[in-house]
Amino acid sequence: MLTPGDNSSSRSLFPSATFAAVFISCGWVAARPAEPLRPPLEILREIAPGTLVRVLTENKVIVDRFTALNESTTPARLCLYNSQWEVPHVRGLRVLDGPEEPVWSARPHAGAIGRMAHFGETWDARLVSPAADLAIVGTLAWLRDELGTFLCREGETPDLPKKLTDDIARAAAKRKPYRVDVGHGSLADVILPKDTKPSTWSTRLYSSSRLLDQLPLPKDLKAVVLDGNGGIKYLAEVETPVVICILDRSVADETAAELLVQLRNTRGEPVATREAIGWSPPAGVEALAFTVAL
Amino acid sequence: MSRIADLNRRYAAAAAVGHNGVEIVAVGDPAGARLNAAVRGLLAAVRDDGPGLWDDLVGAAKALRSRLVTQPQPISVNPALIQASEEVRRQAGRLRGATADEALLDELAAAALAVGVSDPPLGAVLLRSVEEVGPSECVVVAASRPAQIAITNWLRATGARVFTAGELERQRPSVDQAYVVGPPRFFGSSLVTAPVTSAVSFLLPAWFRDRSIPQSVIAAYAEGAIRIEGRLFTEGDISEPAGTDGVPEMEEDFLPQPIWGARKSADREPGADEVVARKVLLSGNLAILLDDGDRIRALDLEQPPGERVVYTEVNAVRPGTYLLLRQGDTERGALYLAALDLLSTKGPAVDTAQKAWKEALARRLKEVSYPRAIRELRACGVRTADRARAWTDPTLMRPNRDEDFEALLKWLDIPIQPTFGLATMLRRAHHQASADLRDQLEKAVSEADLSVLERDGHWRLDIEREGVRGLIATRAIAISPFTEIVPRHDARVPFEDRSGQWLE
Repeated sequence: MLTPGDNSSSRSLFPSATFAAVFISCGWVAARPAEPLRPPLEILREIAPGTLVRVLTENKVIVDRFTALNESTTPARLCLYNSQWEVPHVRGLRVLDGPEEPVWSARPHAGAIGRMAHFGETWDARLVSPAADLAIVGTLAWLRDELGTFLCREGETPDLPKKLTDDIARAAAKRKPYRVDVGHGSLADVILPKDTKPSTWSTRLYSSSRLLDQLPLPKDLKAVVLDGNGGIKYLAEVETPVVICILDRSVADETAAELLVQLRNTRGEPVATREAIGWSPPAGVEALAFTVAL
Repeated sequence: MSRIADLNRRYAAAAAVGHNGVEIVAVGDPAGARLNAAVRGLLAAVRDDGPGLWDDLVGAAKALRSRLVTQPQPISVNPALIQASEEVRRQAGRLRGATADEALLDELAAAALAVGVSDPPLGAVLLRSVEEVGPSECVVVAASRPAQIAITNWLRATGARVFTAGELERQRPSVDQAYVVGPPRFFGSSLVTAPVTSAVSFLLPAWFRDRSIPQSVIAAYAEGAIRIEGRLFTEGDISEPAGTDGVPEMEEDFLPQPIWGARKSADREPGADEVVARKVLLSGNLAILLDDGDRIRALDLEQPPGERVVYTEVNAVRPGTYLLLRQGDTERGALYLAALDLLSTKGPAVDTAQKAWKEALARRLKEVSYPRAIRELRACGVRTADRARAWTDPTLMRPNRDEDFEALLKWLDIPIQPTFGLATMLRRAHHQASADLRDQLEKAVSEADLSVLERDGHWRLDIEREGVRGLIATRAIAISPFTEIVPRHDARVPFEDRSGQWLE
């Protein structure tokens, strides 16, 4: 449906926008194709010491400088600046070309969404080479809270790791808030936010209250979710092919909705979501879509 | 209740109201109907006569009439109604002799006197409804903060909870029934399209004929659009004075309006040191002249601490927006100096380059006429060409889009570098200075009692901290329907203004 130069904007209106941005973002991330993985050994034989790599193992995602490949041992051994790994334990690897600092974090697991979206064999590839083309502009405190949510089918219980349930119980006993992190299997593991120095990320998060001082947005974004009035007011500054605006009907301020309707009526070309993208809004959700020529 | 349980309840309430619609209870109120007819007679006379002479009487009469709709307490606990009734009679008295229409003034004064001494029938129906359902099983929703305070005082003994629409949204009490005092159009669409309770009833005097139910702004174009139906019930004596049937009131006719006077500026393009601005009346008897330049600092009370200080588009400033202003100064002037300061040794070079392209732009705009300049810029690929005049403002760093700025410099015959690089450097420094100020503001706001701001509509930051001294947060009450040409240095600086006195 999208052609380069088109800015396809879809707006949805929910009775309460809680979770809407995060769920839609999960959908975007899940729908991105995964780049196929090359065998790690093949890559390791080609690269020079000092190259920055992202390494995926059974339990970790590591960003570090490559130092050496030792094939004289069995199995072969990968040496990084800060750690060493037997190559068969390396599930995926790619060369990075950024000024990123060495960092590691727990391996994300996609949980129920992964099963529903049939990530299966592509999950490793998604962690090593995430599409990294989505941004959410909204209220960071709320987004972070929602990212820490676990999703499961009705009747199932979410598969929380035992360590996490223990940690949450300990925090609750001390009456301290507990922040669920990437690696615990919450929605954050699918969205992969680029928040506090992650070793792999797919989605940039922006606070709408600070966005003006961070413009312009990076040029490699393909989609931006503008969550709520604060975010939507920056629509004019967003030039990605897809923009998804989320209006919260429970918020009395309707200026953002007015700005959107005005844009649709002056410069927009309406798109029927059912025909164009095969989606009908569920009960209680109002949606309208249109394209705007850039 | 967990957020998810709360969310589920919310969707269930929206589904219930979507399915069942809302109840509209129209209560007969002969005294109110008589006043309404008199006010409409007055408005017709003003239409023929023009404003000026009548302004204060119209303001007072509309204030009285709107209180009949929003504050239906018995007269013994209704000082606002008594006061408004007296004010109408006082203003009518002042006009005696100044107009030939004595009968109109007599009828208005008599009708005002009648509603000022009798219990509004709407109040009795509200009280009975609350008692039937049980005060702990329902909430009452008031149309404004003064109405909420007044109805709370009256219903205190029953234990019923009374909220404004905003409070209802924030507190989300777990009850199923809401009694809303006033017609649907006095409230935002969110009250019915995103209801907190699964049943919503509006109570209003039968003489208020406009019972339309608002829908969300996008509903007219949306798939899955939600249209809420109303079921009308009438109570009591709904007869009306002769000759008043039919035409529903428009809201702009109904609520008290600010006094804007007439437009003073001639029909001309603004000069180099002038801007086109709209007057915005603010809480605390203040006003600003708001030009269509860059975004303005505002306060979003719905946001969590740390994300409340925001920027808002000038055209998104509406009644209810809280603006953050400085007394005697504008933020952009201060930020520009702070940004140059951050650039230290490069500051003077940046300043010189900025002045050069801005002066060249101002000259060119003068030479070729503004509309032609915009046409030419568009033809060169400048997408935001209509901002051309704003770019002459020294405190606006540069066009946001790189492509626009490059094309603009070409159009001005200025080499792209070093001007482009220096302006971009300045923009980065400006971002830094703005982010620093923002952090200070967030800190100041986090120390403030926001309920005071909501109650009073304005609040002064009495903190002696560099950068936030003399700051006021104030709610926009009304925005002028017309623009004026004003000196640039007057724009966005708050000043005393009392033209919003009839507004609640």
